[in-house]
Amino acid sequence: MDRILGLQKIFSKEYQDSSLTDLLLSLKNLFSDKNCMNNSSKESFDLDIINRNYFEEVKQVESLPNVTVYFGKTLTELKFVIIDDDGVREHEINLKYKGVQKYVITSVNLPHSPYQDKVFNSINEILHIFRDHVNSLSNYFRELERIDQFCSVVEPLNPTFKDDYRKIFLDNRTWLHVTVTPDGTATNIHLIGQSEFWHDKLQSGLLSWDHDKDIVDNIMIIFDLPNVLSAVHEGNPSKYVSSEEDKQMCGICLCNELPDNPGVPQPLCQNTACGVFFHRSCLYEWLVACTGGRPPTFGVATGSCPTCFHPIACSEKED
Amino acid sequence: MSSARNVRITREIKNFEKKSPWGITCIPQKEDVYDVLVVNMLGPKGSPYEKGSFELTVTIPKRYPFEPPFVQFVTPVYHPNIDKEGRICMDMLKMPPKGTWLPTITLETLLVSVQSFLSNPNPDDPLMMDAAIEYKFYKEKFKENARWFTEKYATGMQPKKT
Repeated sequence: MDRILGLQKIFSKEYQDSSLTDLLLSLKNLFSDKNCMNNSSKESFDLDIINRNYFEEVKQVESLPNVTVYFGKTLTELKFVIIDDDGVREHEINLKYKGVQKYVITSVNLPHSPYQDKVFNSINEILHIFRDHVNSLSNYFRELERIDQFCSVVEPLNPTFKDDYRKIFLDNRTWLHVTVTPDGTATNIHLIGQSEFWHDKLQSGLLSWDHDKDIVDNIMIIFDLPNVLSAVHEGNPSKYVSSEEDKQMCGICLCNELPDNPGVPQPLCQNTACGVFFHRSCLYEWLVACTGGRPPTFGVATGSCPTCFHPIACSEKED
Repeated sequence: MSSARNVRITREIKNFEKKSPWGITCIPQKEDVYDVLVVNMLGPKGSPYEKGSFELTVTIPKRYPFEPPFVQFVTPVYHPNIDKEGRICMDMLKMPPKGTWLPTITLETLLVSVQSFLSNPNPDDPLMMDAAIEYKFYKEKFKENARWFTEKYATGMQPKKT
């Protein structure tokens, strides 16, 4: 109301004597005042929406051992990272403050979360449930960790605890699919690829599955290949490259010489154990294609190696 | 980079002729033009598709192998992830980050995966809701339907390709 009065005053006055610049100046003064007022009212508004108890609660949680608190885009979004009883793994949980004593879990970095989208009264309650859940999954974590450590996992690309399955490399034509249940047993075990050799081994192996041993040990025994199955990350070039002649071949265009390309395939992956050769142009084109076809800044494309998934960078031209 | 495409696909077809995986044949629709390939695939053993022989077309895109080939069933298939037009919903046939296509996947690997996909559907990401629900909750009914479909459409109707 004050401002409307101010406006009226300015205009009634200006009509009589002043110049245009004076008019603009006084208008400016009036509205810059208004902006200031708006800002201050906004702040108090925000503080009103977010209850003081909420901050108290967050503070309290922050002081707990093994818990780290992060805020999201707004103050109402929270992320907690807790360390489980085994003391090594970190687990994330995201929640949102919906109002006084109303919290909703928006996402959890785990595959099985029965409590998603339920409303909770306090952060402590959520953390309590989450911690119990995480601890009940310790077998699940252990099995997945062992699989990731000892087998060549081809899928998911970057396995996390959110993915409850693994595709394991057996040979160039055959993979093994395993799903891990919350209590750490294997289900849905099947082969990808029609190989009688592996198929027979799997069928007889499933009958003699030893439940006292973990999944990796069972797989090792069934397929009798402690040596073939070594982690991709540690690398075993021989499993990608079948013969000496293939070694010089580009892993993408599957040939050595390209008609309109002067370069020869090189071991471009920064993972020294990967050992697969690529044409610079092929690798570059793939990394660009992965980012939706936009050419990268500074001419260096980044992504992951199409063979071993190691993080990789590749420039368009020779350095 | 069309040269990478042509050199690679030519080599892949040759390799395929030399040493083809179990129950799969793959020949270009027109001789020496590798844009559209005709594939014949036997159903995996021990699955409801066992007795069937399925025809597919594989379209090699211009930007292959930087883009996945487009694979489509010509023979009708009863499957949670294959729709009435024969389109397949499979991670390996899509670009990352949504899919898992990689330029290091060969035509052979891809077709073998499609064959295995027949017997191992992904009912949690379905194209055909009815078939997916059947697969999840009424397995026997699903098998019966899939077998019936296979017998009706995929046996004897397709001329055998060599």
